[in-house]
Amino acid sequence: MKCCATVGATMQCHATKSMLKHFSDWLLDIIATGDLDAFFPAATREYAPLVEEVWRDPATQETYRRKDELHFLPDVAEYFLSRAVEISSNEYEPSERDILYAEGVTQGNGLAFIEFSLDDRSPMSETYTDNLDAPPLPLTRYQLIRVNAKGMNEGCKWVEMFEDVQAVVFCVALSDYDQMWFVPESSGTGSQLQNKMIESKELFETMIRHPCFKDMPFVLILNKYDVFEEKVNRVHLSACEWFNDFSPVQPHHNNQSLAHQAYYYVAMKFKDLYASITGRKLFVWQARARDRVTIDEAFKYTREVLKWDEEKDDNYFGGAEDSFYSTDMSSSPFVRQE
Amino acid sequence: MSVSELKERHVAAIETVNSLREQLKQKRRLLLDTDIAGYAREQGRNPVSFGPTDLVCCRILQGHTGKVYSLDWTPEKNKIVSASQDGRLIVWNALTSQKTHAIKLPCAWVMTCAFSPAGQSVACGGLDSVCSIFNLNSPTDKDGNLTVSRMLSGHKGYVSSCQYVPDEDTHLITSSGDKTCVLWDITTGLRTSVFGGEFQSGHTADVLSVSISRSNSRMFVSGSCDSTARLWDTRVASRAVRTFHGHEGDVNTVKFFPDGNRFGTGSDDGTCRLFDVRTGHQLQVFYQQHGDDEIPHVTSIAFSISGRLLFVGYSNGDCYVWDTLLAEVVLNLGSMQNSHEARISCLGLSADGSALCTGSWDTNLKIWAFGGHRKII
Repeated sequence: MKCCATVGATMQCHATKSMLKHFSDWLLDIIATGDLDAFFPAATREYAPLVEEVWRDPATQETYRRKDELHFLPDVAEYFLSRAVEISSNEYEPSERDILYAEGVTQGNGLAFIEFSLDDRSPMSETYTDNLDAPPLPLTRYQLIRVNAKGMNEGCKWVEMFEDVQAVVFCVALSDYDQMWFVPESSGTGSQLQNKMIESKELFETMIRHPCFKDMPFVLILNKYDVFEEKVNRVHLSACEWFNDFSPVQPHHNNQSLAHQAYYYVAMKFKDLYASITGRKLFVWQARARDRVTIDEAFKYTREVLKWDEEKDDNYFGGAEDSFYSTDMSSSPFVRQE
Repeated sequence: MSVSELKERHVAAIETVNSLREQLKQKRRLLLDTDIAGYAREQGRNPVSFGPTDLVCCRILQGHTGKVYSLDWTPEKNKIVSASQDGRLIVWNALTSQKTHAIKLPCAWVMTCAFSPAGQSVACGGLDSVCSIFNLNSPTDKDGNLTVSRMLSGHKGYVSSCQYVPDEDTHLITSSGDKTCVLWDITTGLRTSVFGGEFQSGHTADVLSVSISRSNSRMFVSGSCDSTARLWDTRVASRAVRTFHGHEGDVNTVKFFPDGNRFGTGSDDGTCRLFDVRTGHQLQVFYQQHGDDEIPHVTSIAFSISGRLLFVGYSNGDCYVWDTLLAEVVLNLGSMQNSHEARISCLGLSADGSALCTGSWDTNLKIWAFGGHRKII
């Protein structure tokens, strides 16, 4: 509903029918007071056709096409709003894809955690392909803790509680390089617009410098590669001032090639930053978070990173170098080769 | 008035406030001709002396499998509740060392725990941003776990500290990483008052600790990462009664002095300070130089019943007993036999003042008792 109201607000700049305007004004009032009960759940079915009509209005569609300029518009707006009537009906059951796109809601504003098991199979172990009769390998239990930086404010006192974790997975959305949002000004006089990628870089730096995370392996996941791939051909990477010195090799034959170079460049920027502060190697992985396969691979990669970290103390020769998962992105079998 | 004009006026106003604050600091420095220790020494007072058997470790409470973050005594009987990173609250009988309850928490990242005045309930909070209340007398479910009897949700950040209002089982105050303190009505689960926050003048960074005055339960003090402690009146939530500056680092812990006219604070700058509630003056600094080593942070403090002794836990495992009158360390529990092997994260005095309990990152709690009779000096 928030998508709809935000779109509704912005489409005021385009001419539209007065009834739809009245409806969107009403939605805006509800959002302002925070009283969502005035709309959910009773009114949803009744107003769903109206919501869909607002959505299909050419003014709305035109505004949505300019969504890159609108900072607070969720990019899932189209996915849900185009099916407003279907979703509001009593028989609707969310598909797995729907759940992924809704991004979940955490109770309260705290962290969320999940425990899962991954077997210890690795492509390098002997039992992987050959010996099908081997006894099942032990499952290692992992706990993944999601800490939403937005809910946890600028203070880093809570970070001390995570001193004993074995790895930190830091997620950055690649497509954020031209996105802005409001950050509170350090002098406390208000908030200013800042580039989201720069904001991520600063948070990343704060984390790696924190005394708690000394000697802690970091895995950087560069997410939303699909959006990035499409965007990088329209908006130059230097929309983010940190990427000012990006000069792709010309000529590039197709969109994928430029995206690949841009991705490699961004990964190198983070790796250099990490190495300059800690003197160690940063582990980077690429992902499209709504595509389960890439996330599955990202976790397997993280598992390998954890193993290397354990093994490095055992003075095990040639451990990291032989691994199927190389830290050098260009040789990774999971990145499309041209 | 345009937005930029408003901004300019705002910046100018902040500068005025800062310069006034500086003037105030100078004035206070002028008026403060001495501190407590200086005055006491002039009067010929001598520090408390401790013999080797005066304060000894008489119990070691083992059972937690993770770092102990917080502990609290019951106001009457000798029970202690402790919270640990292993995701459990354990209720101990301090005299026998037996565990009477082991509560598995829905969120393992717990930072604080507290006993209700009647000793029937315990409250805890942490990174889940919720303060959970458990009634110790309620039946356990099929897995033997106590279920939460009330969840106080509403904070937008982690719950760093909680304390029940003295003699009121139905109200408690929490401090949070969202820069506010909240007074809760437990029976309804709703917030009675919010101290600080977006539109009110309160702390400007995470609030780490609260302490409610025993002599006047309408007054409480809070300590925060903004290096200040603030005094609040629960009837006036809109602004703090007074803000106490002086510390140069996060204020990790605050505790009211037994008579309610003063309170102590402990900070990341390695010092403890004693502030006067009525005048706002800093009465004493408790700090001992450590040479070139990194300055240990103060994690927790507690006063003895008379207030003559101040117990301070540090991040390097030391636990100093300060003579508050003369600002001298009279004992270091960290150097004694049976001392903790890691950071002391919390400590508390029993209701009758006869025992001190310390909790540490080495997963143990230790009870120290005063042996023998003390001569009144």
